[in-house]
Amino acid sequence: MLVHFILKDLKIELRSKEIITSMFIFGLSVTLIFALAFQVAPAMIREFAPGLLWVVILFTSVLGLNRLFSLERDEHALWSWSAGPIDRGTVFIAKVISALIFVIFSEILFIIPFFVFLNLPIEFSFFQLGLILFVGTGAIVSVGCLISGITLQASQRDVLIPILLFPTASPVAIAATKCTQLLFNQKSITEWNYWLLILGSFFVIFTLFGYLVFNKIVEE
Amino acid sequence: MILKVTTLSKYFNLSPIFRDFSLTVYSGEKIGLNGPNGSGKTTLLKMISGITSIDSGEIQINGLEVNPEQTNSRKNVFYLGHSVGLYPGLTGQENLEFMAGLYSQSTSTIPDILSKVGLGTNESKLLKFYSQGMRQRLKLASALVIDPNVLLLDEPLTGLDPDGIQLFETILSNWDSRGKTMVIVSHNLDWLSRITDRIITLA
Repeated sequence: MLVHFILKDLKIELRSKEIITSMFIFGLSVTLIFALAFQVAPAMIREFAPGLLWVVILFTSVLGLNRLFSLERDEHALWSWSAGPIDRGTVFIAKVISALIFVIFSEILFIIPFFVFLNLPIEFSFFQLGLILFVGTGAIVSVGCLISGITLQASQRDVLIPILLFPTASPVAIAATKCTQLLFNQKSITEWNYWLLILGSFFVIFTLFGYLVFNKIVEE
Repeated sequence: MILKVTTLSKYFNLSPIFRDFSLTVYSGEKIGLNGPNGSGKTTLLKMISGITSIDSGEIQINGLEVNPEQTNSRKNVFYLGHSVGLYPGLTGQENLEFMAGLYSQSTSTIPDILSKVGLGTNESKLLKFYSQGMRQRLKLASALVIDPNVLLLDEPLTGLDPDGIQLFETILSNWDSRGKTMVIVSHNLDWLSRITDRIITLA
């Protein structure tokens, strides 16, 4: 059933390309604005860059999550499964995985322009950056999916998602920024693994919590 | 008996829509629900199908309580609402395949069902490009794919042309002959009294 829901989201996105395109264009635009606004010494940019990167990821995630959950609101499509004989928590897990795929795909697209525009030196492990991006993005989307689920039936959900997500996800953004900053400064993984553990904990806890409560929160 | 609603209460903004409402529908029975706008007809169907929560009371289908944790109780019920309740970004066929997957039904019958409801030539068209009548036909098709024992039909004639209404009545009589239990909401009292066994008017 999990795969059934993920494939449905992927099929709709492959056809429309709405979510990834909008996230990529938004991410690229914000990156450009940051690159043009902060005309400072390279050493300074290197200190700012991790924070800027996670601000871009947080903003683009809001855009993607909003659209991903709108798929369920259009034509009351959620009635198909909320009245169906399925565990609604499975839908939550499917949404987390779909969101993770879409956000990571858009990150792959704008991460190269991010390094080019901000003129950042690439003197770190790509694998470790990938790990931070995966766990950090997972933590953001698990929190984001829970908030998107809570606001699914709300009339002002477009406004509510960022208002609720930014404060809730701020510990994630801080931990992800710290990880990335230490990685950019070529510190060993042992010096930043506890920040990675915080991200992983957010990812697991919010995914499990969302799975348990999604049954109730999607009811009208 | 297949559907039992016991002392059901539902409040919206502290004003009661239902207070200690009870209803029993027997297997194979066709019930008509009528009443003015805002009397709770759609809300009642959505509560029976599990889409809307109840504040107190109990709803049972085949002896199983309808609640978010009890997925088995929703296996034999299908809510055909006033919205299409399917994905605009998928084609007619893909939507039916998705529904069949949810209810663990075979997808082999889908092409025949689409032809039966007059959508055989539009199976690859995205739902967002369907007209209101075509959407209504697709909803009927999803009910045929799932083939549930209890059908909750909310204004099923909305958007249907005369051919569509005839098609719907043919499907309805087929369901009736197969002993399906139906709860039908409509403002058309003459039509309801013609096709149902009894009518309940909500105030």
